[in-house]
Amino acid sequence: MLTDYVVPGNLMYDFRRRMDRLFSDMSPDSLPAWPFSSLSGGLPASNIAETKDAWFIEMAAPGIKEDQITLSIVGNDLNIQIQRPEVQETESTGKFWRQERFDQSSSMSIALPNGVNVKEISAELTNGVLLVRLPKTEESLAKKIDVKAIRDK
Amino acid sequence: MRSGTCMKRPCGKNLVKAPANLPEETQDSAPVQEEMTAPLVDIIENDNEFMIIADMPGADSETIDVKYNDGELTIFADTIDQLGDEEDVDFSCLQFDPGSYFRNFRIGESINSDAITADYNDGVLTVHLPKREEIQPRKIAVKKK
Repeated sequence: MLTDYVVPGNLMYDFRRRMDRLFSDMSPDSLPAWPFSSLSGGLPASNIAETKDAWFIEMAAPGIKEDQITLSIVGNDLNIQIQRPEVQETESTGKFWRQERFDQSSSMSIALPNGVNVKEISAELTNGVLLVRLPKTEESLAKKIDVKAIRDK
Repeated sequence: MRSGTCMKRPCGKNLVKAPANLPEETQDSAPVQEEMTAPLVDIIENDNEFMIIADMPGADSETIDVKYNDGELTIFADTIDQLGDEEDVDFSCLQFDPGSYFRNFRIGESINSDAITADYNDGVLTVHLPKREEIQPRKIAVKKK
């Protein structure tokens, strides 16, 4: 675990602090705003995960094809736009007796933490799950510092 | 199950009073185990079929199981953990963690149960439930005297 190492910079602190602040004004009825700096439309269920050498954003996007997702980096922000075609009850679609599925387009932008290798960011869409991989830069990887014992001579 | 603060999103909207023929949720369709999620569905009626469209992102297509038995339709699937190969994964935000998908529906007599089909694309399972011939709308020609 990273707590065994010294973490350079404010990588952990900044990201976690932002998320803690947003989670703290959460009530049972409202959705947490997550570390999004801007958000419109609905918010698909998402995960943020961290491993030793990368951050991951995992988002549920069923029924979405690759050309309906726009991922872009603007400044220090990662923008994710999901375009869902509007579902309307027409002659051809038939009558909706039950509609639970999420049908809103959404657009969100998330401020990247320090230490992300922006050029190596990649994304995969598998069976309706979008997985964005944000690799950490070399400098931000935790480095172990050896402690030398000094004994009284 | 993954570890971390888990926030399941409450969902469900536009519930409409259903006709008698409609596939109905069974009383005991609540997930059997804690690791199961009921997928969100749309139920649509056409002239010749009902469709149950279920959002099942991340399902392992080889484990998808659509069973019809004695008037009851069951949808089940296991999911693939895309971060399963990574080491020491630490979730700071965990909203999407379905475990397995499971949901039950009661199918009425009006469905031709032999002709039920299903397909799975892009994380969405579509089950086609064709209506029996007799109840499909037919035009009746009015003869002039």
